[in-house]
Amino acid sequence: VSGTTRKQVTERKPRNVCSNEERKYRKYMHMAVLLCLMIHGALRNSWIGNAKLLRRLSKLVPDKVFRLLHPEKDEELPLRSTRKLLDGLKMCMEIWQKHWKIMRRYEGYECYMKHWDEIKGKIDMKRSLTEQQFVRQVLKGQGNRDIASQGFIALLRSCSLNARLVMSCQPPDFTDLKEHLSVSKKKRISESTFKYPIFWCEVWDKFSKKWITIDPINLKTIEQIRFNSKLEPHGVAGSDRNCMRYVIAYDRKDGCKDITRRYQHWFNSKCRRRRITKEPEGAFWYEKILKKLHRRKKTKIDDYEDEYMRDRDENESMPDNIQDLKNHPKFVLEKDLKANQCIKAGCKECGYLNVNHKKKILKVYNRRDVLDLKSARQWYNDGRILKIGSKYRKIIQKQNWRKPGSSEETREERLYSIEDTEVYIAPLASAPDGKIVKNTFGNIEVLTPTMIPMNCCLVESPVAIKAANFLQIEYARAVTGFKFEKGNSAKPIIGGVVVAQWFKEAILAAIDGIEYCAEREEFEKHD
Amino acid sequence: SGTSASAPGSIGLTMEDLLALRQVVSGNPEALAPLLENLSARYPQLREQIMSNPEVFVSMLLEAVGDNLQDAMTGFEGSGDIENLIGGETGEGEMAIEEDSAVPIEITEADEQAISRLCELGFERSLVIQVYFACGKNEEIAANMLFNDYAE
Repeated sequence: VSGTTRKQVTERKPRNVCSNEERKYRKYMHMAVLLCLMIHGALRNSWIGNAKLLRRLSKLVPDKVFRLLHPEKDEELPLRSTRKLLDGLKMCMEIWQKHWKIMRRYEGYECYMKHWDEIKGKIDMKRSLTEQQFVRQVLKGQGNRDIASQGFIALLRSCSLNARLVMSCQPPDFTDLKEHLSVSKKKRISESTFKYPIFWCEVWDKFSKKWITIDPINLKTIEQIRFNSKLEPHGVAGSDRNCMRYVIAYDRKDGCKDITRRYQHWFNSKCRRRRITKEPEGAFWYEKILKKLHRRKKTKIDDYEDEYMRDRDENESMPDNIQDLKNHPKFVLEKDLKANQCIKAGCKECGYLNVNHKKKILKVYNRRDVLDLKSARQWYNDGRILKIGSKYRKIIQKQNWRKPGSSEETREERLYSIEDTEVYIAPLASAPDGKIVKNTFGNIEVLTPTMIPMNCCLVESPVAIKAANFLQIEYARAVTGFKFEKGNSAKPIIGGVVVAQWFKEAILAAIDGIEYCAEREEFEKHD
Repeated sequence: SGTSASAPGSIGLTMEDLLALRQVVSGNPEALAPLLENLSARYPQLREQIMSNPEVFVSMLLEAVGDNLQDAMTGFEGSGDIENLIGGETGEGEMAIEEDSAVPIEITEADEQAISRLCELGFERSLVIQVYFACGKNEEIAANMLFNDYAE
């Protein structure tokens, strides 16, 4: 007697992964919450600039501290001036810790990250803070850690320092596709959950031309970050609800910048994977928001900071594990190279990866040494043809669909790089008759706008051919794409016609006329 | 009792929902997820708007609606005068008013007369201005909204 035993049948456990629809929903919620958090930062930043608040807070800072915050420029040794500034900032931190009388506990998770089973729920509108209440709390020195941190920035701005509000936005994680959270993960809120801050401060040091980082409340630290920051969350408890992905800086002139790079050691790998910007669409969407929130012109300070960020980017080392190398913007494993890619001539690997405790060694290449290739036909679809004398870079084997049943299962395809090609220039239409050069099928292929002859135009309309025939002008049917049907055959799509420029107005008028007549006929039919 | 009149450029949200959203975004970010979940279910076009035109969403929320204006009139120093608050930001420097923002900053003769008439109905000028512009300068809709939501 044969057959599967009960044990064998129940062996396969269902994967703990949510549905496709839920995945899309989580991505949308991530984006919606992120968008609102970024706006929250901008609004809170403007509250911090409240005139009455700044006036009152400036009275907390004694003259001698104020002088330290604005030292004379030491021409010999700018470091001395920076030292004074740092001393002044430390004193401000102490003043602020003394000023804060009541440090309220968080009532919930506040701005820390929620898990997917926590995003639905009741909305308690009574807990909303107004600008007036915020100012009052800061002046009284009563409120939670976030208010305390934000108030500190107001204190520094009241001393005319270029102080930024920094916010680490924590939308729910769209890369978390687990359907059910394991019971063990349901931890109680502990102090370590809130160890690393969501809000902190940066102050511009005009002597060293760098931003100084201050966390006056959580870690109570001042740092000048070169490569590592104490504010980057570490450990399981500390990063459970604090996944650093979007660190946004708001300044007193309503500027808004993403400065995550400064705080993330592995920005190009671990961090990037969790950001919506890892895909071009997401990056474009995110840039739109930053651009909208950034409401001032570029300054020299921005230039200094851009240079710092470029340095950090160049200095980020190659990851030491396979997962972080997947889709890395700068590095690619030899084994992850695609069939239509090759390494540029003369380029070597830039590093190695040890796998399985050194049992295996994989080669790693710089992405800029990798060439993307296409076949001659694929280049033609982009409006490009091979240059004379160009040699193929690579040969790959492709399935032989064109001749089913033939003896060869695969055929060779030669691949070329963009350097081996040039833009195809279509022959001009002859004047004055406007005759257009056609292919063996009597058509002209217009797969990109560059394939239209320079003295012609493409007229796309279902009645374009009818119009051209009516006018008795020279034209060519235009193949604008292909329809892929069963049996792997591609059928050309005639999207319209190509005519000489000087016939453009006439054919457009004719098309108008034909469409009008067709409409009238339809109208009269229904009467 | 919400109103059914929607402000132009507000992505079709009712005034009540728009004010609630702004309140949460500015003063209660913990409630963002449940509120967005709720709004997304009731306004199917919201998802598309956020994904395709986040900058319009930003405009809608950065405009001074609700508490900012109320605060200004209770003698609370935000910045400048009302006209500067409408459609603008409280920071210093140039204000960039986009074409797609719902609330323009010019008050014409005709607007001034409409606002006066609405004030004569017994409402405070600051409130009238806020509602008048939020209703796309439609005196009738503004009057309706004032009576429905703000009459004592």
